[in-house]
Parts: sequence; structure tokens; C-alpha cells
Amino acid sequence: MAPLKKLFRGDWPARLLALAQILIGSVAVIGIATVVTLNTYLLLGFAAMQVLIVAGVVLFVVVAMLAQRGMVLEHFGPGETVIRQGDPGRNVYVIKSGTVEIVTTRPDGSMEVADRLGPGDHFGDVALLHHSLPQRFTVRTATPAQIFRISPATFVQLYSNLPEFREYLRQRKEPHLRQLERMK
Amino acid sequence: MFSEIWHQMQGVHGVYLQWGTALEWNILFTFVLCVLILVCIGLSLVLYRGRQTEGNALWLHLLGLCIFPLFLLPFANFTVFEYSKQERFCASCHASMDPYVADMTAPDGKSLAASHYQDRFAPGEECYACHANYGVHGTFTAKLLGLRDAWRELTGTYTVPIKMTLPFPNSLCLKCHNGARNFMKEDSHTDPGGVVARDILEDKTLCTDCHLPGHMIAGQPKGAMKAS
Repeated sequence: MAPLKKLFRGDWPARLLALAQILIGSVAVIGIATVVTLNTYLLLGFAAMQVLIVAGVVLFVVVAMLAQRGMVLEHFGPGETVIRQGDPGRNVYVIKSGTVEIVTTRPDGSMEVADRLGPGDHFGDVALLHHSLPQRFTVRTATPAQIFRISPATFVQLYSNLPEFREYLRQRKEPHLRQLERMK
Repeated sequence: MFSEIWHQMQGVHGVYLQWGTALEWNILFTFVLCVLILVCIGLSLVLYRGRQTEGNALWLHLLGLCIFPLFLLPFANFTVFEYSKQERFCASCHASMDPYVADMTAPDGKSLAASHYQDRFAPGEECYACHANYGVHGTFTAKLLGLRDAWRELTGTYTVPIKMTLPFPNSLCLKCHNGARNFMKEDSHTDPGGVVARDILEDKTLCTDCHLPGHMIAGQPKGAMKAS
């Protein structure tokens, strides 16, 4: 079950969507080549590839349904990476249980643990709210952890419609950012 | 495709001949849909980089990964199935089919294929018109056998002279000639009462027993094409 959970963790709707784009895009490329050249084997290949269109459409439908999921609880083992420094800010994470480490990479390449976060803490909102800025840190688990991943659409809806929520976030600025500022 | 369409649109001495068959429209729609799909995918990658599963990106994906592909399915399949009826499709297996196409299209050809070709009874679909049996079942069988032939051509596993997989039944001729004035007025074709002779219907007498062979290939005796 563990490898299966790992497989389904993270932004796999985006991976499925990329697969659907590859499948349908390749059929479209072959289709253009086929009708331009009217080559026998391209025609036969194009006919056989129609099944890829069906697969691509099914994948898209699955992705569209999954994209509606506002919040997902993900399970991590100790030492696993939740987000990587430099990746675009996509989701907001709230820790349900366990401990995570905020790790920064120095200019010389060495890594330093800047902070530790526990149940109730959150991270990822700053990068998301600043137009998907690259993540300024890596987050990895120090212990087994359960972490809610909140989709951008859900988070932005909450942020836009609940002034109290905005104020709460402003006051409770991401703890690791406070720590990072102290380190400067 | 495009040079062919342009050539047809030019017509003869500028006079428009033909363009706009179901096949030609389908080829065009297939091309347009494929381009639209690629445009949608490209736009989504540019405009929604890193946010492919969010907000308005999903509407673009709905077009590019769902609606256009679902429209493409029938157009593409129709294009392939209709184009595979064309003589140029059959003729594209050059090494094995060249002698038969040359025989059929020769202006002074004497074979049945040549005379039918000159009659222009099925322009562009001469091979299919004679070699595929009547109805959906005939079409299905022809496509399946065609796939096998294409595989043999691709892998070079055919033998020369090529032989038809199935015997050439009289029904392939009768699907057009049955009831035709010139055919019915010939006594040897009919039984008393003016109906097609039972011997012909039951393939006891083959059309090619009396008429010229379907194809006349140099160095190949009459009947060499009969099914193995």
C-alpha cells in the first residue's frame, strides 16, 4: 500500500493531464501528417491511434473531477520531501500530525534547517499568493506526518471571501518566513 | 492532399470539375481539428504554465482534450475508411500492385479491369468496387483482408504473383450487372422466365470462364490470380 500511496501523492492530476496532452497531441500530429501526405501506413496508424483519443479524453474527465477536490489528506514517511525549493508555489499545506523541517539551501550549496513546524502550522501560501513564486525553501518530514494539501482554487476562494481568514494569515505569517527573516 | 485539392479546384481550362465530396470535407475537417487541438495544448502550456489543472485552464482543456478530440474521432475514422476505398490507396503498395494498376489504367488495356476503368463506372474506387462484396459484411471483410495485405507489404512477406485470398465469386459482378439491360438480354445469362441463370448465381459457371480475365499481366498465365 505504501508505494501506491506514494504514487497517488502530490499533484498527480497535473501528471495525468500532461499524459492526456501527450496522447491526444501525438494523435493530432500524426493526423496532420496523415492528411497532408495521405501515406498508407500513416493512415492505418492514425486509425489505430484513435484509441489514444479515447484514453486521453477519459484521463481529462478524471483530472477534471479530481481538480474539484478542494483538500486532500496526504501521508508521508520520515525524511520525505513535501515541496522542493525552486518549484512553483501551487498548493497550501496544513499539518495535521507530525513534524516537518524547513530547509534552505545556501549559496554555497550547503543545506540548513531553518525551522520546524508541527500540527496546526501551515506553509506554501506566500508563494501561491504571489503569483506562483518559486518556493524559497524545501520542506521535508522529520517524523511520519499527515498533511492536508489545499488546492489553489479552494485557498484563493477562502482568502478572497473571508476577511477573518485573511487577517488570521496576516497575523500568523508563515512561521518559517519569520525564522528566515531572523536569519538574514 | 493540398496540391491535389488545388489541382481539382483549378478544373480543366479553369472550369470547376469537382471538390466537396464527403471524403474531401472529412480530410479538411480532420486537418482543422488536429490543428485546433495542438493550438489548445500549446496555448495551455504557454498561458497556464504550472497551473494546468486550475481555473480557466480547465476550460481550454475541455476544448483541446475533450470536445475537439471527440469530434475528431468520427471525422478521422471516416477519412481513413473512405480513403482506403480509393484506387490510389490500393496502388500505394507499389511493388506488388504496380502491374495490376498499370494493366487497369492502360488506355489500350484489354482486361476486365481496364474496360471497367475506361467505363468510369466508379471513378477513383475501381479496385474496391470490384473486389469488395456487397453490404456492410462485404466492406468489413474487405477491410480486414486489406489490413492483412498491408501487413504483408510492410513486412515483405507476400509472394509474386500475388493471389487473391478468397475466390472471386460471381456475386461481385452481379451486384452491379444483375438487372442491367445489356446483361439480361444475353440468353446465356438467364434462365427461362428472364431471371439470372442458377448456374451463375451458384458460381457453377464463373463470369471469367467466358469473359476476359480480371487482369492481364505480362508473363502471367490466365488464372494465375485465382485464389490459392
